[in-house]
Amino acid sequence: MKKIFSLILAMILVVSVAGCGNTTKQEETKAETKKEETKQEEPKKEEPKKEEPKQEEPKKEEPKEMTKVRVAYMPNMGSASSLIAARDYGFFAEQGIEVVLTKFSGGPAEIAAMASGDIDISQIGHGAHKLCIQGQAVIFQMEASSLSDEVIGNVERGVKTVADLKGKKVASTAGTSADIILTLALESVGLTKDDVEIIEMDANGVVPAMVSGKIDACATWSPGTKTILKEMGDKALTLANNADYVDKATFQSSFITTEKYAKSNEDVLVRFAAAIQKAQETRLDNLEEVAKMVAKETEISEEVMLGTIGESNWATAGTSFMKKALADGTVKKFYENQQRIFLNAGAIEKEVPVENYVLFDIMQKAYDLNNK
Amino acid sequence: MIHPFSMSEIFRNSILEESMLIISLSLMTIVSIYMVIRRRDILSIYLLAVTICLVIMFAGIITNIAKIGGYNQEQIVFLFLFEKIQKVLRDWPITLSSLGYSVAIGRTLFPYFLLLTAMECSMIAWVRRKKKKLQLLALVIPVMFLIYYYPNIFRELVNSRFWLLVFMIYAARIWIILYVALAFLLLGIEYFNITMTYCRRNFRLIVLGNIGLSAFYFIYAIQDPAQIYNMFIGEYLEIGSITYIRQSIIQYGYISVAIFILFFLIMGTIGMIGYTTLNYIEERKDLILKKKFNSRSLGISIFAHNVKNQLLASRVIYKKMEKALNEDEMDREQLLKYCRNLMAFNEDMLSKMNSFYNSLKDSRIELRPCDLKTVVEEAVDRCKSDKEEIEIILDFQDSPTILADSVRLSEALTNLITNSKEAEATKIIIRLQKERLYHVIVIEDNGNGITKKVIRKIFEPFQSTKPSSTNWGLGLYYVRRTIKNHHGNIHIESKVGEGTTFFIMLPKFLVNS
Repeated sequence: MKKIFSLILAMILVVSVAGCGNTTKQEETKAETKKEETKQEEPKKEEPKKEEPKQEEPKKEEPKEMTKVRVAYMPNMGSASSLIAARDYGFFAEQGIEVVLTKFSGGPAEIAAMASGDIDISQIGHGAHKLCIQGQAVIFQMEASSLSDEVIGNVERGVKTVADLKGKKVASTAGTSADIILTLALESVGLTKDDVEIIEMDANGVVPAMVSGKIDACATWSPGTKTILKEMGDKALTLANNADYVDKATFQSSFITTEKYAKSNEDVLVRFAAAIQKAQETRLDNLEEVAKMVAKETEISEEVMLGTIGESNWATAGTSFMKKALADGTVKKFYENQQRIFLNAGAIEKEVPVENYVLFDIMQKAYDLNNK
Repeated sequence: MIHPFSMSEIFRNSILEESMLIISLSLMTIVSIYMVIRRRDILSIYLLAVTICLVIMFAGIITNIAKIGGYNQEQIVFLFLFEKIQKVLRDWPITLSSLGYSVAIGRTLFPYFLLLTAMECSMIAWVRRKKKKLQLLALVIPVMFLIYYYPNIFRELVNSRFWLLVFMIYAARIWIILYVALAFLLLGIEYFNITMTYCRRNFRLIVLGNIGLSAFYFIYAIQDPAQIYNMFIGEYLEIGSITYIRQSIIQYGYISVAIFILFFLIMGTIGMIGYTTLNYIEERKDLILKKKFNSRSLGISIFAHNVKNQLLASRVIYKKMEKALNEDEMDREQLLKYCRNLMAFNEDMLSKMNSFYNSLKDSRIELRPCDLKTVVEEAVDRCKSDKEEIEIILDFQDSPTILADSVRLSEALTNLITNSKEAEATKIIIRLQKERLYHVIVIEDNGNGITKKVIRKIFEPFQSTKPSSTNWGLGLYYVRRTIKNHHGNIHIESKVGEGTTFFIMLPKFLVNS
């Protein structure tokens, strides 16, 4: 017995020492790799995946030096479509980039993962832009503005209009674009969030809570909204969505990174953004095909994914849009408008120049790279 | 993609992968519940509370991880065992407030119960005297933090008070580390103050169990649980504290983490099971002994057999006496010798009957403060009257007062000394030692020693390795019962050919100054 315990203790010591040693080593290696990434790219490990490129054939010459980029995304059309299209159409490979995708359910967790060095680039929705304004991350590529948020009521529980929400249990996630739509919808009938019982819930939890009738209404986004409407049929009713408040709020989504990564990897970001812009352009004419790619990657049914192809204003992204929008300042205006939404909601205290956290030059260089 | 020679792949597909959090947590809960059922003492209840806190905290964190994402397909197995579990947890319609607060409860109460466990084990007089007060005092900080973390109160307090959030994050870390450190300090002091190997072994199991639980706890305890219901607080990012999922832990240290968790888990489990088993064995021993003694047929048959043997031996002497008396020339010397023999038989019978009666009758004893040294000396004197060639050394530094029935206790000690003599010992050392709440009488001989097989049965009634006509095998049964009646314990260690040591642990008699 004594021997067994001594043995266990000794092994634990060895393991913990080895564990600590490993971490440090890996961190060092990671840092070194990052440095090297800019100058000296890693050898290519795999061929670009799956589908044949539609527009331009990637050059299948001798093995190319590939830069590995760890990207966080959310499993929906708005977040994943340009990423997956760029990967599967071979646009990343063209730029010498190999992406490692990691699924998240919200922007804050993505940013946290970036801060801890586990992720290099994230795709975020409107809500997490607040963290960029607060200086936690920088935006280097714009994505199409979102139309995916909805406030849905349970008809059977007496919620048929926004006014019916008074005193009801409404599930929402603080700080998200859906939460803002809820606030705007309530304001439109003279109510505030204090007039309803807000149930703080994550987007994944909202769907079963709503379908099982545990809550009276919810403010969430697709594909959850589509699943709720499909599962509940006549029992669910859309009370408000982005289209109702398009004059008051447009919800930008973006590709972001940390300031540190941006400083030492400008070249990677430019190439990444170029691939994304190209994918956004391709997406415009191949929405259904892209939706199927996203469905496959995210393991969500094609039917649900195809039902969400209207969730973004796709025309607000892509090479042709960027050409105009960068030249006439539309991109800047989008982000200024977005900041105003946060200011009005009291989510941020003071205005910040958008140049502080939006890297317009990367978008421009990416555009130029595609059109040289 | 398969890398046939990659070690990490081999590990990923191996049993280590099955050691993820969910299995670990289930195992710990089962062990703790088993422990409470078996031991039914306050210490095992505290240990159960410690485990439950850990389970609540981890269940909340696993659910949160399932919801926020940020892991690869292969990591799902490590974290959730099955992808299905991950999906069920991800879609669980629990509010973020409940989720976050449950993690806060587990995280906040773990150090508290760990400290209570340590206090319960501690024999430091000051700690024991003020145990109740200390327990209440220790509760103050956890209660304060539980109030602070209550989602509505938290939002009210922290809203636009960044400094408070930062302060509380660090304050929480500090008190948690302090509590755990204090708990291990108490356990450590206790461990190093135990000199008896037997007690040390027993206590080591509790310490190891707690180390295992705490190592597990610290994987995530450093994170602030309020981040679960305050997903958009950028301040967490500013101070670099957010997210329960650290890919680097899982991705890079995959094997280390798996081995780390597995070993601490095994340690904790072995510790706790071992601790439970020791007591269980004691209880079982009592039960078995009672059963054995209750089996009257065995008792009566041995009793009858021995009495018959004695009577037969007496009959032989009577016949010899009769023959001697009938002879013309009566040999008085011879007759006297027969008479003495008969007398000796009679005395021996009486003494055997007496000890048999003692072991049967009501075990009531009268405990009075008495001098332990005197009790031992009485026992030794009783043995010395036998005029045997044996050296008995008394090694007493002081003479403590204990609560005992001096006659019964001294009889029991006599029995043990006799036992040593019968094992052909030439030297017996009797020492007195202090051990936590006990005075320990150590009787060490250099006799033949006892085999492990015999040790297992040594305290059972009618067990004897010696001829049955002179020994009924009730001695050690009686000794154990007497010691138990003194609220003490007896333990035996022996090596064949080297000798045997008996440890008699008797509770200290604490007089309130």
